[in-house]
Amino acid sequence: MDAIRVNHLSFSYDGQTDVIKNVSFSIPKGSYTTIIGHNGSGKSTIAKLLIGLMEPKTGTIEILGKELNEASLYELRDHVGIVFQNPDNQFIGSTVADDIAFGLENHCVPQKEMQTIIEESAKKVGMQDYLNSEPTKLSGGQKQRVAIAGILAIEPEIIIFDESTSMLDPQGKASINKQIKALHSQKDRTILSITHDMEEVAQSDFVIVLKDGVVRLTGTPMEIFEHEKELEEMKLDIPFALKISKKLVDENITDKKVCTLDEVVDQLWQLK
Amino acid sequence: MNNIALGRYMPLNSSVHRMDPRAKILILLLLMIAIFIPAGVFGYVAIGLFILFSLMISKLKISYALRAMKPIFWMMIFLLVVNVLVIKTGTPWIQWGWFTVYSDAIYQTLYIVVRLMFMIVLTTILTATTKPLDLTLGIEKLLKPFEKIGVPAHIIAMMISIALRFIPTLIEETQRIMNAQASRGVDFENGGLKEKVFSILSLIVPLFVSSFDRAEQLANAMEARGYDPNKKRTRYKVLKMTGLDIVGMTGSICILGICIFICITKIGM
Amino acid sequence: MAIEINHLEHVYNTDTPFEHKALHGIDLSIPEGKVTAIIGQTGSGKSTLVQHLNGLLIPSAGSLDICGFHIQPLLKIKDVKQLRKEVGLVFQFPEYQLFEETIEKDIAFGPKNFGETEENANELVRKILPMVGLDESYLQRSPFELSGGQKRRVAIAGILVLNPKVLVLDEPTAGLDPQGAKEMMSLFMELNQVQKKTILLVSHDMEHVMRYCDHVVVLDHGKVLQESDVKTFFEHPEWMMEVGINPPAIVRLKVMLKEKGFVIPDEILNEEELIQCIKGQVMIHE
Repeated sequence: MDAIRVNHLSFSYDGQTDVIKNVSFSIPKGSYTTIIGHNGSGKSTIAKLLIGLMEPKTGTIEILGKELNEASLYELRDHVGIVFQNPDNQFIGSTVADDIAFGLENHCVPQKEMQTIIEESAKKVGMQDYLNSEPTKLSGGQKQRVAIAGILAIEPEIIIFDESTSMLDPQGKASINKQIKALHSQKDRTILSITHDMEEVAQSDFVIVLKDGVVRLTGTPMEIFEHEKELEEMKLDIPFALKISKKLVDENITDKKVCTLDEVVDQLWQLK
Repeated sequence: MNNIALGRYMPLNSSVHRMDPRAKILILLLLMIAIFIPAGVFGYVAIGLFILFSLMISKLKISYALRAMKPIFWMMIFLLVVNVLVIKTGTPWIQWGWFTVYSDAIYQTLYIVVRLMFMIVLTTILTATTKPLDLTLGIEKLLKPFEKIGVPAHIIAMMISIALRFIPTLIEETQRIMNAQASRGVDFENGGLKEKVFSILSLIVPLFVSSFDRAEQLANAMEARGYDPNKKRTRYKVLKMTGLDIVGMTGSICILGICIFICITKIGM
Repeated sequence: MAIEINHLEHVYNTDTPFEHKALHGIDLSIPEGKVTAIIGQTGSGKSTLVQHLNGLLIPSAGSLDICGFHIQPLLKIKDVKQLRKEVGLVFQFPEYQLFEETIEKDIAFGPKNFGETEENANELVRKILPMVGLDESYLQRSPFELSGGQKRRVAIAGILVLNPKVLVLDEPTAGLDPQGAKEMMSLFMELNQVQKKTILLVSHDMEHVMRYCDHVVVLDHGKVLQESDVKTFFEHPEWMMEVGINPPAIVRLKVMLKEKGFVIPDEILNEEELIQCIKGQVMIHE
């Protein structure tokens, strides 16, 4: 079964120009999928549609086999969590514990069970020592980790990251990327990440490339990166590891193109 | 910004800090009523002792409470001057040429000043010993019975707590925009009326734009996490009354009782 | 003339419980006409340092000399407006400073504050707009209907229109997509090369620093930890690791290869040389 299935989806903000144009794709359960595209390609709009913050103009969205509509909306939100871009504007509680509790309160989790869940979720993202900290005392990366903890507390099957690292400093970025990878390796969780970071894309299972509201390419990272010309047209870059790997192949040093630094180093080490 | 004493939470560990916010709000309300009942010196002494005792067990410094009174100091002086000029009843105390200061002028001023002082100290104790969020929660719980007659207690509380949560963020943002505009040659201190208007516009407009942005993003985040103001929610924080809460409330009810008694019977006035 | 910073210290909220020393004696000489990167973690004092450059902050101790201005504690800067005209400061996410009804008015706001007539200011706006990649059709549009990247261009134009000698940029590419970031950096490089402007770039992006900067300053806990030319800097990945900065991909690859026993000289910083170096150390497929 697919975690997410999108059929002929269109959306328009002003009722005239469509920002999402007849988009269809499906995301297998348990996969780590990335969506890439230039600013304004419609990536974030899709994320908002997937969690029902806006209604599609035409087309349907199915989450775990169930159609997303007004009736199923609140039930489906038990299964889908989202981390947004700006760490400041999604911190609702006045302390870390309060913020993690917010989702639990909305989902009517009994008060007695909350403390344990809060502590466990905070621990999963390494924030267990900050439960009573106020948001102004936290860095951007820490706030994003709290946002993740708030979602983990609900234990959704699908987690969406909407450019969640783009406003963070390198350490924040690294800590969130590590967290995303760890989340994916656990359970049967489906991760959908909207990103500009080609190194992250290289590590995902499946990539969707958007341009001007249309799906232009889909496939594994290697399949996507084969279309270098098209990517360039869409103002997207290929990762550094692949650039190096291509040159290594051209020089007849290695025989297979790869797209992460780890793989490049492994290949070379085998030849040493 | 840092020297505003009134309304600031002081993170100390005292039994007053640990009290139930509902009890503290109720005590404040009861004593406020008591303060406005004319119950002569006895009444004020009773209230004063209660306040002094609360201040002591709250571990707040007296100087801190006094600092909260700074803003009304000039008001007191003004009041005194007006009263001295206007009130011409009671016994004449000081005579200075054609000018006489009557006893009632002094008493009247004193009464008002004492009332104001009591109210300020009480509010200061409440806000200094109660975290803003707990205060909101207390207000929400106290308003709960009124939900039946259409008071949206939960929504009011949520609005207050979000506003409180974003105050530091907005202060930071204001500073940043002021710096950015100063770098474009805006002088926030000097200049004529026209320059003043422009410099304020250059601050307010971006502040509004970014606040609306934030509000929209925050609303999305809240909705995505399953928030619906009209749906049933459980609460993480629960409030529990303890011994001191009962003692405090009983005490303030007694004081209110005494004041009412004195006011009606005029005993000791 | 270079920017000279001597024993600069800055303390926030002096004599309050919130007192905080952000800069502990900074000594720096920033070369004229070059692109200098200022890097360091969040909280290292970068923002505090750059706010001294146009007089938004006054040092608590020490002094600095910039564009003929001497700035020291307790001394009011005589003509602070002139200083702010010569040293243009672009803050992080500058799109949040836009406020006028039209793009023309917004960009002209700066020059008018500095005493230009309306006509002259509008003339300057017309000259600056193409530089940031927008044409005249934008002049009468509202800045609020633009995309994020375009808003930032308008905001940056609002500083460039003042024609500053020194341009200080705080994370100018944060939040832009890679293509937008590239275009933004090319614009700054052109300003540096054609108009010989001195540029200070506060950045987290080491790929940008490596590609575009001449000189690197590393701040850590309010002190200068390293100062060197860009090449020497990237030959020492340990300097970056020490302050928790993610080195550029090529440097990371070198470190990873070295861990596996490859011998790679420090001075190799481009792909071709790296490949040639590896070639000699592996068996070649036939």
